[in-house]
Amino acid sequence: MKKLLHALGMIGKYYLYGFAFQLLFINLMNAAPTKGQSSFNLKEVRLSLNLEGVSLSESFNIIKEKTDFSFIYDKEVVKRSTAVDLKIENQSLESVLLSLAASHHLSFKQVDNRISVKLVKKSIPEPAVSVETTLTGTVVDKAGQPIPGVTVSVLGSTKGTATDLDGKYQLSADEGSTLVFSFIGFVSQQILVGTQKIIDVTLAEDMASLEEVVVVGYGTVRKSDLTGSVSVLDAKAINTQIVNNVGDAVQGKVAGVSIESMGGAPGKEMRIQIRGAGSLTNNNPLILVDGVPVSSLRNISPSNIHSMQVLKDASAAAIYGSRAANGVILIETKLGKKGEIQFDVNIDHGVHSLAKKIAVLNADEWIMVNTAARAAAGLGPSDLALEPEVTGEGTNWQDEMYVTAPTTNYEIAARGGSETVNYNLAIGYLDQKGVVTQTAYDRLNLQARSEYTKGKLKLGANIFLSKEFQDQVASDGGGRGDVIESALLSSPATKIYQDERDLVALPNKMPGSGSNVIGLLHLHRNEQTMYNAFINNFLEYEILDGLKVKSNVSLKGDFSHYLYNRPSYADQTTYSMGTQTGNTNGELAENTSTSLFWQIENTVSYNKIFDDHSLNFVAGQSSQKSSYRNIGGSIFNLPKGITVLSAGSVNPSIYGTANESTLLSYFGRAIYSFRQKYILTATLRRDGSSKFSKENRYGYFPSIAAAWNAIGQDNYEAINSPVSNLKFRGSYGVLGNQEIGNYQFLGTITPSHIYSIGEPAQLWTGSIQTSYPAVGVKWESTSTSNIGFDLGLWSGKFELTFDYFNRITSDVLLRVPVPLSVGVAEAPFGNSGEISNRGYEALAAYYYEKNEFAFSVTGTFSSIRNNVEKLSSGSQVLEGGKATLHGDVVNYTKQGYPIYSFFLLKTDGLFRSIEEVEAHSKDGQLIQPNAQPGDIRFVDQNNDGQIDGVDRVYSGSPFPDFEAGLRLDGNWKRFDLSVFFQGTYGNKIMNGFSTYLESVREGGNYSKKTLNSYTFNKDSDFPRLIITDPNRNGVDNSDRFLEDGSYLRVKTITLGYNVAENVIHRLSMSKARVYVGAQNLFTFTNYSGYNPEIGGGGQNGSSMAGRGVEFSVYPLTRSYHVGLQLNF
Amino acid sequence: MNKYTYFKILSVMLVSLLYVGCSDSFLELDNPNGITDQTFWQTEKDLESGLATVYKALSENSDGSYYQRTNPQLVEGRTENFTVSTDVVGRYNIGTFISTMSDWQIATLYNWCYRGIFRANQVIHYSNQIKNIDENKKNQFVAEAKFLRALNYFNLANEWGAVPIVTSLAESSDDYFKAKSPIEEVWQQVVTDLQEAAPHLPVSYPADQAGRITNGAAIAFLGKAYLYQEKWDQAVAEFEKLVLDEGKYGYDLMEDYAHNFDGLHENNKESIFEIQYSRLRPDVWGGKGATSTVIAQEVAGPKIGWQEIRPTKTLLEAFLKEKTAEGDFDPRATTTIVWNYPGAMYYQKPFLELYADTAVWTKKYQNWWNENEGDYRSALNEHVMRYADVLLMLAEAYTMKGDVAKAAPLVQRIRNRAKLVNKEPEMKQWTKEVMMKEIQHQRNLEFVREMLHWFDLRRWGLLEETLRLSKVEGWQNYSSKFQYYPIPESELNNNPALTQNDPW
Repeated sequence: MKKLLHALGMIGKYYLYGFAFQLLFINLMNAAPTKGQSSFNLKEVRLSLNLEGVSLSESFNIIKEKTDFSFIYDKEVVKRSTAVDLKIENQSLESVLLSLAASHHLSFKQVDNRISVKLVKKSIPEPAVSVETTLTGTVVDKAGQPIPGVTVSVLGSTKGTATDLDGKYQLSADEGSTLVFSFIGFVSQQILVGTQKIIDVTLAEDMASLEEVVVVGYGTVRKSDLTGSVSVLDAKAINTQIVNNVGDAVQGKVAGVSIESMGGAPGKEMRIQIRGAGSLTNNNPLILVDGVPVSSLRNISPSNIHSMQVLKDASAAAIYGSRAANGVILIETKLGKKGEIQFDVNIDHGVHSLAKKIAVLNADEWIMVNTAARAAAGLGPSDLALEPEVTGEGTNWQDEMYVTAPTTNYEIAARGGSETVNYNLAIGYLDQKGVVTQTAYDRLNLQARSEYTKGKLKLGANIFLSKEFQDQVASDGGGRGDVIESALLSSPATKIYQDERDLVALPNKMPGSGSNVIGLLHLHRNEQTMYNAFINNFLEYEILDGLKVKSNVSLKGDFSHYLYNRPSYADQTTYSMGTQTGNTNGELAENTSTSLFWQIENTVSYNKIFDDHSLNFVAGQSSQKSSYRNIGGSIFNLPKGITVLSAGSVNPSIYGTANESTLLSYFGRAIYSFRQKYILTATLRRDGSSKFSKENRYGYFPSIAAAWNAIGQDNYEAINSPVSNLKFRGSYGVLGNQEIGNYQFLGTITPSHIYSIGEPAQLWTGSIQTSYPAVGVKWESTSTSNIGFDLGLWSGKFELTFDYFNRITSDVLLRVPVPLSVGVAEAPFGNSGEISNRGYEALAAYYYEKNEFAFSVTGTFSSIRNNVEKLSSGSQVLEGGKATLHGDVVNYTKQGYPIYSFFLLKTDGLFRSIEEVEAHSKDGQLIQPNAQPGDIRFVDQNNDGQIDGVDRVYSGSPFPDFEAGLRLDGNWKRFDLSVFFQGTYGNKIMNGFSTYLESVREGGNYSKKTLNSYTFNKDSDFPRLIITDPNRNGVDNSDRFLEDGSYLRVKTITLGYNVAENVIHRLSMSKARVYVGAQNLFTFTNYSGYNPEIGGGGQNGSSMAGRGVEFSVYPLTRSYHVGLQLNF
Repeated sequence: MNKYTYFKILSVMLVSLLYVGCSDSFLELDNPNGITDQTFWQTEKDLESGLATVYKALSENSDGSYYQRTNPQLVEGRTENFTVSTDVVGRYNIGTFISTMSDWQIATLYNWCYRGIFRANQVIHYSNQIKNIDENKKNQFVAEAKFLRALNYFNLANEWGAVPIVTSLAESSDDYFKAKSPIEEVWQQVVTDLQEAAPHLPVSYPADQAGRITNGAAIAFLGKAYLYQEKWDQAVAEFEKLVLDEGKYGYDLMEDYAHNFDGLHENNKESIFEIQYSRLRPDVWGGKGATSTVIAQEVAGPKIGWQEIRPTKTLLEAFLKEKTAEGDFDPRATTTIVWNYPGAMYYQKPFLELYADTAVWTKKYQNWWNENEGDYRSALNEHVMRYADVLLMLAEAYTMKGDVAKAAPLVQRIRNRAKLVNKEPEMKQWTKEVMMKEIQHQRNLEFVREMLHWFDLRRWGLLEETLRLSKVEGWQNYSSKFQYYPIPESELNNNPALTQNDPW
């Protein structure tokens, strides 16, 4: 029992927070103690002791045996203490404790039958002369409960005392001096001594000063022993109720972590990037949920998270070696605490709607603009303009496609525990409709987590299951297939419905346009169902005091099924689209994939404190294997309403692929701390990966870090200074990246090139090598230097954490571009480049509390400068993403610039006269021979007399100059209000929508801006309308379509009300809260598209190249919520 | 639990630690998807399988492969016969001469020629390491690969001029950076490959292999390569092998011009080489698994397809210049385009039911006899060369040599099939210039949409004049540099050994 208590003592936060406060304030209220309640009064318990020459810890044991009181203390308390010299006869326990307090600088605090012991340090010289008055008073907490053991000292002197068990103190002090009241876990208070004789004090709890432990991978450390850069988010910060996606919930709250949406489709992934983009292959952090690596945060319910730690620098992440170069996110799910079982019920209802629509022309305007643009090219009106299907306002495709979409989220959890078992059972169900009609997402989460302790043996089990279903936007696979884009580009002069429910199939008179998007959405099915499961079991055994071995086995399975059905458009019961676009016989494609993963990890850890020295050591080994297999097929000619492959009859097709990878690692870490003041951490990991050939298989990843607690919470100086905490940290380390896909070092023969041959035609299937192998490819490595400090002021009322870092990624894994004439499908991977990310990040927080009012402000700020220091030979350029389907690449990775920077033609206003066109010449030759007044003047950067790609110049990057988040939380009586702002500054967006809408081409609708073009208004800056565009005004790689992507967003607002205790107690509840909230309520931005937050998406998918490139990204939504939280 | 139990648990954990940990073989994995260059190239089957991909490169990628859906639009869109829709801006820019060296479309096309070459080089290179293979078979496969490599170099020389020549596999990354060779050397590479290929190719194939490269195809392309270099004697020598020995090769014109394009008579006696398309596979937008092309959907008139290229009035006028002996429209006109002629049907609808009286739309390589283009997958083969081309090329070579009388019967053979009046006697008396005019006119009508006219005009020095006279959209933007494509910008960036071609 003693050891268990000691162990509890080591886990400072749980002990103090969990036991001290909860038990003190909740259990005392509930008055639940078991035996001999009356004997818990320290004044009534009388005893005789002879403790001469007995050690302090033994003394506690003796008292325990005699009284049923147990003592809880940190080992440090007894290690440094001298022997006790005390002999008493039949005195109260209180007086015994007061004697010990005086002789050993201790303070005591009774909690039920436990007594916590705390060391009080004093080292301040006495003042020379002083006139003293005797002061008395009582120290109580907010609830009016007396606090025993509070240190009451006179500022600037050695004088001091401690409150007794009734919270009372007596002290003599000079008039005009200042009394300091301090106690661990509470905010210190200073009071000026005047003429008063009685000073009563109410201390406020100080959550910040609790000694937290931080999970750092394969173990925990005291926060004070932390040397690396780690951000911690607790459940309160994560769970904002109205967001149901972890990425969304964390966005803007962790300095140095950039989280961006990849579009607003329900169930969409988010891009998470820690401290910039260092790699060209993979910038995703390693995410571990309860120690199990997961590929996505999407299926995790935010409310089930207990805490989240983001390991940002090499020192913190080094133990994960490979895969940790982009940082590590550790998520710990909730686990019940000892005590009564608690149920949490959350219910949230919300409605989502499109936050913004893009202004496009109505039917009459379209006819006018289209006709004018054709006339400028000497062409007559188009067929559709001559015979529009609808006139006037015409069809507003955005109004037709975007709907108000409801969301419902239900969660119920039961948590609890005893001395031997802790558990958490949680069920969550989210049902979310998309704002694009016919899209949806739902998710079911189940979790059962438990831990069993018996003596020195501990067993843990964690079972996590989720099922997700995603009804995605339909696509017809080509042309203007994407519905987001099509809704903007479909002409307002066309009809949606022929007659009721009979959809018009585009194109009718619209050349080059896509299909009727409303029809596609109703008729096509594009669905994905995913089942994810993992089970993680561990067994831990404490061999000796502080020496533990642990074995951890995880199994994970992800099962995904994708179904695409393009039914015959004819004779459908609900909607039909006629047969004009063909598709008379229906198509079905299905694909199932299975990802399996197992991992075995064995660790040995040792934690020991020897007097001033403490050591935290862990070493281990990890083996893991991932395997993936998919099977798919497609078929045509399906009967109406049937969607199984066997029902089809024409062109059956099957395919399947598989791959596997393994990783074998050894690792070790030692943390040494001297008096909790000087801390040193060293880590080494060796990883072997199957992705590299034998010669290049192993990578070694070392790191070293140091920290200095200049002023700590235990230091007596802290009491007399506004600075309550100051810590400096520094680290350096190297981490790896291996994300290049499997088997790259082999010259793989690509199968299944199918040509048809013969009469009648038959398949002739070929295999060939389409790329050269990546000979000699090896680990990419990132070295990170980090310096930072943590500052606490006024007993933790104000906190500031600041870090500067320099990440250099070398041997960058990239497909080093080779000439097109090499004839390969993809350039082989090589280690050929160096990318740096330098920057700083800060988190500042301020807490204020008075009477029934409390508020806190938390701000995060980060600024990162990304630069490609070296790329292959230097002249080579990596092509990035496109903003239009058939357009040119708009961003490139080039030496000397941020990765995926925009390189664009520079525009220089419009030509206002023919003279200006003629003046734009070189050696008598017109630089823009096809230009007319009203066309755009492009800058001939290389002065060669023509405008082409060589004239593109660096025009900005998708990386912001800085990102910031600001969270305001306030409580007043039973109300709580939380407002969260988030934004970026200085990032650029290439707007693919504008490229289409503002360059008047055939086959689409146009922007409202065309109404004020040069054609209609000679003062306009918008170029003339000409459908043939001989001057290439609409060229998709000019800075005309590059926009400022800075934004400030009111991301969430929540207003809650806690129902009065007398009401909820009658209902046997401990808490009932109702709230209303809104998400993405306001966005302040100059960006003209749907949403400035473009982490990728649309046709560029999730690749980094799609960042900041608007290309059919599902718009972000605004939502309003109302919800209920019950605890009982 | 007693101490013994603890000990047991501890032992199990330590043993598992040792067991899982230490074997390096844990990191040795084979690629379950397939074979590597170390294990492939062992059998005749491997070699033939590799060869399939060399054919495939000509039609694999919908934007890059030379005979897939995009390039016919790029070649025809530049001529006076078609205009290009503005909606796919890259193609439009090429069609109206406002493209630059930076347009990705040109780079993709260039890259796919070399992808075909890379594959051909593999077949040629690895053929030598294959044992237990019939020597004739091996020679034939290598010859097919060489023909296809020659065809890719032909297209490179024809579109870009001076380009790098790659005929072997890279041993190290240093071999990636090849300087360009003058256009003459590129032509020489074409000639060499075809000369080496021809003797090993069969004159014909059994039906189940119809569509593979024949001896006649190699000869015909050799002749064409000489013709494009204006080496008239050598061109005549090659073409005469085929024309003077029709019995051996079995080449002849189809009686009905339209049969070449109706989907029912593919790989017929007029076919020298055609890219095979079928509807055997479901993939729509190209790719290695696709066997069809979406070109028919892209070019079809409104309400059916997307009219990415549109026939001009200039083309209609060219067809209307001469009626048949019986006073009808040239059958090539009504096979190639549709307008409001009597009885005009388009996708099973009377023309006027679909379009205005003045409209002109494309029929050749369209499935216009169906109700619509269905699921966008067209199975119609694209012709790389027809025997009609051989006849007219021989006629042209004769004429350029001053042998007009020998050209006349060949030209009349084409006219006869088009049911035009017999002008053979008077043609024999024509001057070289007049005869060339007739050949130029006939070639235009005969091969519209078959990716020949643009290069013909360039060979004849008629590009600028033709565009100017027709006033086709974008003609004002034309300058002589548009005769050839520029070396793509990305190629210049990534290959320090290259320079841009003049006058780009």
